Amino acid sequence: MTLRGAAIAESWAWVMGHVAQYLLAVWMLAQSPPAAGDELSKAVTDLGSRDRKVQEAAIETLGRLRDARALPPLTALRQGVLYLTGEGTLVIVPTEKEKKVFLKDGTELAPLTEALTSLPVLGPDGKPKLVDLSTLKRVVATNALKQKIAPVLSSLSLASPDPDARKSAAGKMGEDRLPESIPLLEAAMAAEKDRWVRMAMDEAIQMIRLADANPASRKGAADRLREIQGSNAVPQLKSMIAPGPDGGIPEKDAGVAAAVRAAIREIESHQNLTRTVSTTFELLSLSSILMMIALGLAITFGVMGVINMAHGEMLMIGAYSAYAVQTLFQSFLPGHYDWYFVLAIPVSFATAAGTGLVLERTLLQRLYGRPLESMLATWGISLMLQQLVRSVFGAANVDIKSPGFLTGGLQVMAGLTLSYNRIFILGFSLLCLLALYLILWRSRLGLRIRAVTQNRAMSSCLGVATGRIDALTFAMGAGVAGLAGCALSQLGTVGPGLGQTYIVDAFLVVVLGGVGKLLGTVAAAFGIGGVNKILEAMIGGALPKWGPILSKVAVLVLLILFLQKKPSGFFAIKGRHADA
Amino acid sequence: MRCVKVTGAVLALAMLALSGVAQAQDDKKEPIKVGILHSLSGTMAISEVSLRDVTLMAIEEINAAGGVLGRKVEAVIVDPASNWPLFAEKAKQLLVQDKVSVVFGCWTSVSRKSVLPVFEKENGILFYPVQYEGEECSRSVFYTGAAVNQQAGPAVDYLLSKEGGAKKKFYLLGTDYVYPRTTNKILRAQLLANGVKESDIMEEYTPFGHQDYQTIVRKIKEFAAGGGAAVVSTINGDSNVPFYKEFANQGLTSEKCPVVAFSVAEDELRGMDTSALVGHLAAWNYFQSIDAPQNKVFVKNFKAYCEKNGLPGGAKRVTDDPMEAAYIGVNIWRQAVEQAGSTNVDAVRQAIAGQYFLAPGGWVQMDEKNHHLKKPVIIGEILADGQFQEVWRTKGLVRAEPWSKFVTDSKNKVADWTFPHLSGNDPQPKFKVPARP
Repeated sequence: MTLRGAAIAESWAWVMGHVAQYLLAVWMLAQSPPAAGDELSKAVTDLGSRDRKVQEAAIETLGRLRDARALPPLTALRQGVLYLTGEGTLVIVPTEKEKKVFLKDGTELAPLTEALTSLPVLGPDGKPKLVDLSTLKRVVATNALKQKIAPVLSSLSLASPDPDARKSAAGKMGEDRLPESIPLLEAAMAAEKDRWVRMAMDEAIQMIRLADANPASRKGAADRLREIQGSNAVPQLKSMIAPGPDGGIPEKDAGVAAAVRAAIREIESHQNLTRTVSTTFELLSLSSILMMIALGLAITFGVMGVINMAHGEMLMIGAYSAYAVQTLFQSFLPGHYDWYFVLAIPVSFATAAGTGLVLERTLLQRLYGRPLESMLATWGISLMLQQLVRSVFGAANVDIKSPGFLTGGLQVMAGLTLSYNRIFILGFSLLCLLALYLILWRSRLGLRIRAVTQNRAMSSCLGVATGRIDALTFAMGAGVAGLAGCALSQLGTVGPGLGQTYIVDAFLVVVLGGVGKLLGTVAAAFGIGGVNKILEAMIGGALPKWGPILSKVAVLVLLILFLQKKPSGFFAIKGRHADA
Repeated sequence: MRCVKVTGAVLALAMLALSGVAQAQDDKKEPIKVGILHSLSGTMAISEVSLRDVTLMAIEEINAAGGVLGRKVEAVIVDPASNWPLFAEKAKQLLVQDKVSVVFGCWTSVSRKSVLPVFEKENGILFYPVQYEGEECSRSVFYTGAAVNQQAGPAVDYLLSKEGGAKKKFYLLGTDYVYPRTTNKILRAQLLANGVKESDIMEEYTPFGHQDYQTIVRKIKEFAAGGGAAVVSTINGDSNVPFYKEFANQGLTSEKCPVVAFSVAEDELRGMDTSALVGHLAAWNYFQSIDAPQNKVFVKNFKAYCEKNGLPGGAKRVTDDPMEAAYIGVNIWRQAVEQAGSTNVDAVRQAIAGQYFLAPGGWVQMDEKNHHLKKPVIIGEILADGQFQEVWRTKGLVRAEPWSKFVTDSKNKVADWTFPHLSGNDPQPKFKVPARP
């Protein structure tokens, strides 16, 4: 197609898309007569009835009306958070923890939203009224009723604002294989802007057509599935050509069978591609995490020769700083909650660096050149820091909510979604590495640090303030650990034991990389991450019950063997040290 | 010389008299000592501290109502610090030194197995409130937590049923230790017996504290393609958060592939970002959200208790299944002592069997024979506020089967501590009852 031709086609598609949207809107409006407002509100009110038959009729009506305003009360009924107030109004209780208020005698208060309008229930002062939950009567939905709600919710969810919910609804329709769903899906597809949701809907339509009586329809479906790489349809496709006990296959038409076989072949080869890309991303993600954890330690251990057993606790301090910032935002700036993460990054760096600085000035400066004592002393410090955190924040794990822009994932191919938080950590770790490189090799401070590392006495003679440089370097290493902790808080649990989970991995990376070389740390992180993931995939394929466990064991065994051959790691410092 | 002899004799007589008096006093107004054997520090502290709190609250309620047999109950609290050998030492200390009448304690199966020989040797009674893998039935232990057929079994039945979505593919994912391995062995046999194909069952284990679930979630995604799949999760502790987060971030939803967990309760959800877990399921015998008057009272009292005693979390504390089981244990013991009329261990042990109790979650009964509790099984859906919404419940109470019929080594074992069987694990009864003429 020529460039001009492509442009024409694109603008035509744009126009058609909008026409379709308009038609869909008209169609939807046509479904609900002008008095829909009354019918909708009557149906929603009926949801709160004590008579199960009235409730069932209401659900059917809401399904017929296809009005997305029915989503909140139906979802609330299904989740069991639809209540009747004393006056008979139907209200929804929010399910988020932060919105509830607990009084000292154990009473629970919560703000309410009206079921029909989704507006908050206001008190006499115009602010949301906090109501005692024990005064409300829960609207009960029996399991049979919930079964009736599910398909209605599915069809309404096709218009949900959340793309994952739309994909899910389309997928469910594909699995249920009801021919009535096809016009719904086609209309939704025409109005859909998100490429991957469109694909999910297309896949669902083809999966329904695969069961059609007309062979041409089935062949068309199989061909289309081959085009869009519809992996969800593979089990259904396989069942169509699976040999039965008599040797024959369920699919009688030869042309269709051939199309199905071709589709399976192509989809599976695409799946192999996604698997490879996926493993590569997992590898990069794990390596970037290991690198972030180990960079700080590489500086303190590698550059300064201090065995810092409290490095894990620096990670923990960074993570808890993020938690503290989050709590502050929850209490004082709930509207701008997502931005807590932006503030958490410098705060984590500062707190961890500050702790490192204090540690260095008070204790470690007296222990230079004495690795065993510094190891023991920092081990004691790590225990103290853990207990300090336990006393301040409690021994239980704390709950860190990811900001909106880090939740969910980016779909890049059919069947491959990369999580945003891991993409972020990958980018963030590379940025930190770059920043460290610039500081250490392109700035005067870095020059002084390297000088002190190589020959302390000579640097001192040349006028470098070695004490201050030591403190700054240690603080920098601790600060990087704090940043790693802040990043890790988005991935997993944050508790007083966070440091203990990661300290061994950090030391492994630094020792394998070669003490004293930053590049070695990077190489080792990618080496360990890579070997871990590849082994997990290999062992996981052969012995599924033992995959992750054996791969961890295998990585450690390989590490031991490698260190036997090359004890100083990947990139050992060649030549002689001034102070060994 | 003679004065010394007389003084000695008088002293001896006095001591005898005093000890006699002390003996008499023991049975009259002395408080009854009970032991609390839960880790208050170390890795298990997070979970076990709540059990200590609810046990103390139960004891406080009992004392406020007049005590047991007119005597106050006094708790002797020890801290085995998540150290399994220390559990055995502390148990011995409680039974031999402090001479407690009963012990409420333990969480992990390792800790219970460490203290078992101590209880059997010293003839003590232990109430164990946590769900476990079964394959045990000791004379000295009363198990108020669920056995596998009272939690995992019904959960799988629910998933196979139409209400649960008629699932056909099952991914059994757990942490690598005895509870998940044994549970999954039993579940696999149950699934195969229900017609699920071998190729539709996947089993995978991760080490404790595992954080990187990328590969596993990707495998689950492939496994779930085409629908009809569910994940049965026995992941324990800290690893739950990264698993659920990765699950949600890679685009899997609870509608497409629900995850049923057996180790995630209200207390764990307190310390998690629940947005990734909403819509997933858990199977327990009790939820804080159960709509019963005695449960509302129980929850309110517990929150007020935590607030009053300055416990961390205060009125935001939650109640969950192991806590309800601990509460049931204390009260059933009280009932048994009242029935037996004394704290004598052998009398109380016999009186415990068959006791009914109105627990916060509803009526439960201690089994007449096998030292386990008959409990209902409930499946709950996780809500965003860390509470559960009931979606399914067994009709009536489920009787525990400590020896699973799906495990070949033990399926013939009979847990029956009544006459004539008098054994926790023998296929044959110990005593032969002569046939009636």
